[in-house]
Amino acid sequence: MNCNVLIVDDSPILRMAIRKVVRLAGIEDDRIHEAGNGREALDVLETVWIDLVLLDMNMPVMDGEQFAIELKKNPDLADVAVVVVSTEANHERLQRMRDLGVMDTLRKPFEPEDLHRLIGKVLGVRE
Amino acid sequence: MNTIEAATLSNMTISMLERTAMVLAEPAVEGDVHPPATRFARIVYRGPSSGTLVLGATEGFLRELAASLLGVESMEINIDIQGSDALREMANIVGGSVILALAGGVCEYSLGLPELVASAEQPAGTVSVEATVVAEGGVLRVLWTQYNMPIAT
Repeated sequence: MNCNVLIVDDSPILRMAIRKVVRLAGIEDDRIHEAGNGREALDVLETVWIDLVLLDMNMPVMDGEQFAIELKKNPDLADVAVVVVSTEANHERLQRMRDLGVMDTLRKPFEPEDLHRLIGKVLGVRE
Repeated sequence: MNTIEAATLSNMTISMLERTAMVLAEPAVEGDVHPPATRFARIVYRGPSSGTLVLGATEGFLRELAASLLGVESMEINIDIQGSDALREMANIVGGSVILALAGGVCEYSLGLPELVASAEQPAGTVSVEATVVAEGGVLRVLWTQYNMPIAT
């Protein structure tokens, strides 16, 4: 699949675990990018075309909600597909993320098949 | 408002370990003696009530957990880096499960960031619910403390 995916999570071990699943979904390894927080993710987005962001919510420096707000402000990036992959359960916060245009949410822990399916669905819609 | 009993906390932890890392664990048998946990991670939650969840693990457990997450051999794991990261993330995941159970339906709770701490010690006067689970590599203790309401023991 010729798509670029950005994994945004403050846990390096989780990023690596998610990377494995993304590879299994057919994304080549050099098309998978990583960031440890929202600020780093914005930096990546300024230099690489990203089709899908897999976004954790609770992160230091810049959390997922702030990242989504910044993304929305930037006309060049406002249409990037974002899926929340997080333990976030607060319904108000999740509603705010949907209002910011997040396409879907996947609660941790997730089955690899769930993420695989979600990637296919979101990128399929984008194609 | 809901509460969580030790058996529920244990089952929740076992389920999270299996779903996250394919680590198969079971509740510790009462009376069995296990090595003490040497690494600890804590996560705070806030909402209709507030509290903490502290996970304490033996080194062997952390090796198995991190190795399963990464798909490598346990001896390849750097316990200070990958082991600690795996423990923090597990605190985050079990914490997420705890607040959903506490909320019952619509969740008004929020989790803080998981952090490494020196011990599982809780402030004097608080009551905690504890669960211990055993996996092939070692032991994981989970301590749930709710601060501003009575909790089941």
